[in-house]
This record gives sequence, structure tokens and C-alpha cells, in this order.
Amino acid sequence: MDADQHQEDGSPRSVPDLGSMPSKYNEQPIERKEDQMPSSDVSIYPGRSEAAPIRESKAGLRLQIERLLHRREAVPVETWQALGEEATMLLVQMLDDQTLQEALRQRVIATLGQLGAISAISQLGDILLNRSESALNRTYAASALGKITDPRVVPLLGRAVTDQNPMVRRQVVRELGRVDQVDAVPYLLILSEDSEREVADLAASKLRNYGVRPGVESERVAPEEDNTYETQTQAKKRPAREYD
Amino acid sequence: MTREGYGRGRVASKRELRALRRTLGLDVRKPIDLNSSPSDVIAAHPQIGKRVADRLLGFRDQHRIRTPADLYQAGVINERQLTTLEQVAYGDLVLRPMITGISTDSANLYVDEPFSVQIAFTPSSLIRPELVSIDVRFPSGKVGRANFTISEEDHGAGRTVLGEFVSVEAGEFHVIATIRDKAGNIHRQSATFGVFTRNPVQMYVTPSYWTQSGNAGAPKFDFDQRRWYCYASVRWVNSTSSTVNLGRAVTVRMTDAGSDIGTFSFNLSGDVVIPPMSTVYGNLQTWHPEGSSAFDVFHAKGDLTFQYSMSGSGFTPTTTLIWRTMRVIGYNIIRVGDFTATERSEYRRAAAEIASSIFQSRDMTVYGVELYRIEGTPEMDADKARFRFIDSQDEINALRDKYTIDNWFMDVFFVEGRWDGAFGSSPTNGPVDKEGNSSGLVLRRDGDTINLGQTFAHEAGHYLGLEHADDDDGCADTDPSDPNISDNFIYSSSLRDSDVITLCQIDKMRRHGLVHSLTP
Repeated sequence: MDADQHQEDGSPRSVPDLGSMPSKYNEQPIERKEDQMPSSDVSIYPGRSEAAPIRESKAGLRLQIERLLHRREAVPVETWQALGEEATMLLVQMLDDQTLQEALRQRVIATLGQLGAISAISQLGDILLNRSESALNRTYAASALGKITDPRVVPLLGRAVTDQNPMVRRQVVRELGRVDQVDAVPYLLILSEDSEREVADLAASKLRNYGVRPGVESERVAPEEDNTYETQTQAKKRPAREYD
Repeated sequence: MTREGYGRGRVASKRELRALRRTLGLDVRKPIDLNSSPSDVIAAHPQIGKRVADRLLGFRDQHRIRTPADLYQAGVINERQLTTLEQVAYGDLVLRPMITGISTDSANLYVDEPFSVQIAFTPSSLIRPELVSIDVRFPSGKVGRANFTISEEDHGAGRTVLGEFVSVEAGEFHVIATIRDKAGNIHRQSATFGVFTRNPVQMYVTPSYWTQSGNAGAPKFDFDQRRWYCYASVRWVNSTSSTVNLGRAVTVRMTDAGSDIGTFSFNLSGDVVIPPMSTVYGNLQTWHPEGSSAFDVFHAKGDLTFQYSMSGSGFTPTTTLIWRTMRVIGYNIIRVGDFTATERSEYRRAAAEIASSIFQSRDMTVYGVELYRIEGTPEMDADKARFRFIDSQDEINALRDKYTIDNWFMDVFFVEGRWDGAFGSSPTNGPVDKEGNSSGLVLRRDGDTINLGQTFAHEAGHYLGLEHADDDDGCADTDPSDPNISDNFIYSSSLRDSDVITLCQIDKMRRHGLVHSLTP
């Protein structure tokens, strides 16, 4: 519970009490009937209903993929792999699907990265380098490409060092550091001179991981990126209040 | 003597109605017949655009179009435009099935009377359609979905008939149909139908917040004004062939265990004018000040029955609703990244309205949403750059370990993207004191506000102690073999409109320290 009884705008903070008194409900429920609709005649969950299991086809596979894409949390890579290589091909095909909602398309991109899908490199590269894609989509594409173990991703990531959006460039730095290929060094050197300090600092840090000493100008502001994480002992910080 | 109650309300504008339909996913365009669709329809199609439409129409004047590839081979469109066109248009030779219409078996649908839905699609396409999926929303608000195989006969005929449906309330019945072909492509279409009542003019009042029983509304207490508020949406349905004007006066009669405790009236902002065979939407709220009987009953965790009525054009529609008190949760939404004012407004709405309406079926709702940002100091600016696109679970832990808000609301870190593409994540049974590195939810940008609201509710459910409904969750009333388990809000692949919460689940959540009671 908040010790401060006033919000930052000065208005009193309303704190409901924890209830202990029992409720006193005495109204008779109003009877309501249920809407009805037909039941599925096929199911992707054999044994869960009387419906027949779905036939093994791309239509059924797509239905299964959509179910996984709707999961709130991350889907383990083994779950995707259990659907087989055809599922990966279908995910690549879905990148061009105009009916797919943006957030689901981003999930498809991330999933292809998770799967290390070599067959998706070309299309992910197209997304990363297509300025008509949103900055967030480009960031997702960079993130996915960096997780695919293939030398072809390095030049694609390298072509994005001039992306106008710092979030994209920062992700490119992360991925160029992650791919652990010496071909990434020239691009990281460019990014170590980036106009955005956050990008330049991170690039300098990644260069050191490659055993390359960045330029003096970069070094002055280049702390080692702390990829290891330890629980902090000091009090947590409070973000700034945002008003409408 | 204190007046028993006050109220206000209004009829929804057309713009609000359009926005509502958009949130239901009902703005899907019909496919284009490249040889016969009118030129203005083609030009107005958002995925085709006027420039491509002009070139397409010029080509069509000279040639029949067999497939969109004819346009590509003639140099009229490029490869990217071909990919688009193949998904929204067809020529004489139909490559893949597309839904061309959704209809019902009778011109008018009536309450309690069975009806079927017919899905028409392009017949004899080269790629065979295999499944049709339907998502429906009944006037009562109940949603449902089902999958059906398409027989050889239906493929040849270009249609499949699904029945039987029965609606128990009048209003609008929405259908989204998805056809799935053998190549893994899909095509989607939506339609809305009026459901009418033999009792010619009806009024339905639906509480904005429901209680645990699922058949009572939950009033909200305003601590500043010391009033109980009863928020509700209203639907007026006219099943006659004439316009009906119910005026603007609403009368509310309140009873406690059958005994009258008071009646009051108020005016809506305008008359309720319902065109023939139509539904009109609106909202109303009543409030009950300290000293009134309703205030005393609600403050003692009691319940009341309200009877709402209006009168006009010779009709007096009446409806009753029970109101009960409830428990609450709150969200601190902590923005990490750049979000437009519209996006901020939408994620607030997702938490305050959509997630709240998911908790509607039980006696819990979203009490408040406060907005914060990690931005504005050199340290926070650096953290914003670092955490706006979350790259690992370690980063999630680091973010949660560093920031919190010292109040009783759940902390929700709202980032632009996540490496794993997940909509969100949360610890199960998160800490009440919000200490440590598992002290909040981490959600990512999602332009679909309904889906985002579902994520808020789902992840809050985890934080408040729930496991997935299809896992070993310790609840006897969540059966993983139930064919409708996907309707549960905390099913692992809960859909954007999954809103079922069981009694066991709500009882578990109510034990968490961040769930409070509104009453003393």
C-alpha cells in the first residue's frame, strides 16, 4: 500500500480497504437462457471433444500455427519444431499474408528467428531493409536475423547500419555482436561512431568482445555492457508519472 | 431527504458504432472480381489503391483477366502488388478459394428461433478449400468459434451451410468466417445480421462490470465523491416496420429482496429514436449518494434489483438487472519506449475497459490505471534505449528489479517489442510487496486493443496466482479436455475474446494481496 496518501498531482489517493465483512446478497438471480451454435466437426486437439481429429494438411497446420501465435507467452522452440519443417515454410509464407494482423506478423518474424530458419533469411532481410516497413518490424527482423546461424545474415544486418531509427540500429549492434563472425567488425566500427550515444557505446562494447579496440572517441564513453545480471540491493527507482 | 439516485446517458454516435465494429474485426472487405467488380469498388479497396486500380481498369478494358498473374506478365503490376492482388482478387480462373458472401436462411432472425448461416465462396478453385472457421458474437455478448470440414459437394457448389444457431437476445449478430485451403492460405469475410424479437420493442441493459455470479452488475465506488456508480451499456431493438421514439426519460425502480426502496427518473442527452427493424446502442449510468438506501445497501456488501423502463410510441420496454459490490485490482502502466498519444490512450483503454470487461463475469474489476514512463533523466533515458526492445529474460528481470511504483496496483512494463514475439509474460503468484526481479508484467506493443486487453487480463491472472487453464492448475472446474477450454481467459492460447473465468480461478485470485475490496 502506498505510504503517500497523495498523488503527484495533489489529489488524494483513494485506497480501498481490505474487506473482512461478509457479503449480504439477497436478490433472486434473474434467469437467463444460453445462446446456441453448432459444434466443430473437426478438432486440432484429438480426444478433447467428439469432433474428428483434423486431417494432416496445410489447412490444419495453419490452424495449429495460429493457435500457437495467439499464445500470450513465449512458445518453446520444441513446440514449434514438433510441427515439422512444413510449419516453418508456412510461417515464411505468412510473412506475405496481408490478412495477418501486425502484432501477429511480428510474432511470426520473432518465431522464425527462434527457429533459426535459414529459409526465411531472404524475406527477413527484405523486411529489415524496406523503409516502408515500420521501425518496430525492422527491429524484429534484425532480432530474428541475428538468431539465425548463417554467414549470409551479416551483410544483411550490415546494410541496416544506416537505418534512420536508433532502435533498429541498436538491435543491429546487438545482433552483429551475437553472430560472432569477424565479418561483423567493419559494420560495428561504423556503428561505434553512431550519432546516438546508446548505439555507439554498445557497438564499442561489442567490438571489444571481438578483440577490436575502438577509436579513442568511442572509448571515452564506452563502458563494458553489463550482460550479466545481478539482483540489486538498493531501493528500486520510481518511473516518472505521466499525465493525460 | 437524500434523493435515491441520479443518472445520465446517451445514444451512441455512428462514429462510435463504427469504432465498435472495428474492434470486433468486422471491417473486412469483400474480394474483388477482376472482370466484373465496379471500378469505384476496386479503386476504394485499401489494399489495391487508386494507382494500381487505374492501371488494372485500363488493362481490363482490352482483355479478360484469367488470374492476377496476367497483370504481372503484362507489366501492369509488380511482384509485390501481385502478391497482394492474389490475396484480395480473382479472375476467370479461380486459384484459391475466397469468401464471396455470408447469409442466413431467413430475411429476419428472431430471438429463440433457430437459424443457419451460409458461407459462399468461389466455386471450383484450383486449390481446394478444406476448412471453414467461424467466430460469432451474439447480441448477448457471448462469443463462440468452431471449425468445419468442407465436403467435396460443398466445394463444387461453392457454399457451405452451418446450423443451428439460436440467439436469446435481440440486437446484432456478428460473424467472421475464415476459409482455409490446402496450401495453407486463408481468406476472411465478416457480416452482421439483426436479431429481432416478437415482443416488438425491447430494451437491454448490460452492466459495464459484471460480478461473480455472471448475472449481476457490479457498482463502482468513487472515493472522492462518496458515491456508488452503476455503469451500463444499453441496446434498444425495434422489430416493427415503423420508427419508434422512446423519448429520453429513463425510470429506475429499485427493490431489495422484493421490497421497494425507491424510484427515480433521469433524462438521456437525447431521444432514443429507433428506425424500423434496427438496433440502437447507448450507455447510461446512475449514481447513489451517501444517505440514500442504495448507498447503504452497497456499502454493506449487499445487492439490489433495478428495473429500468422507458416509454414512447405506444411501447414501454422494461428490463431488470441485479447490482452487487465487488473486488478490484489496479495497473501501473510503465511505458518503456516511444508511444504516440493515441497508443497510450489505447493501452490505457485495453487495461481499464477491455481487461476489466474480461473480469466482468466475476466480482472483480479494474479499479484504476496510472500511467508512468521510464524517461526524463539521463539514467532513465539510457534505460529506455536499453529496454525498449527487450532482448532476453535477463533484461526483463533487470527492468523489474530496477523500477517499481509504491502503490497497490500491479506494475505493467509496456515495451515496444520482445525478442520472443510473445504478447506478454508474468510470474505466477507475483510478490505483493513488488520487491525482487519478478515484480511485474512485461507486455509489448499490440495495435489490436481487444487482444491487448486480453493480454492484460491473462498476465494479471498469472500474477494473481493462476496457472494456465490447460495445465495442472489445481482447479477442478477447468477441464483441459473441455472443447470450450479456449474460451477461458487464462488458457495458454487464449484468443482475443476469451473471457471465461471459473469460480475456482476467481477464488484463487481473490486471495492475492493486490486484490482489494471496495467496501469497508
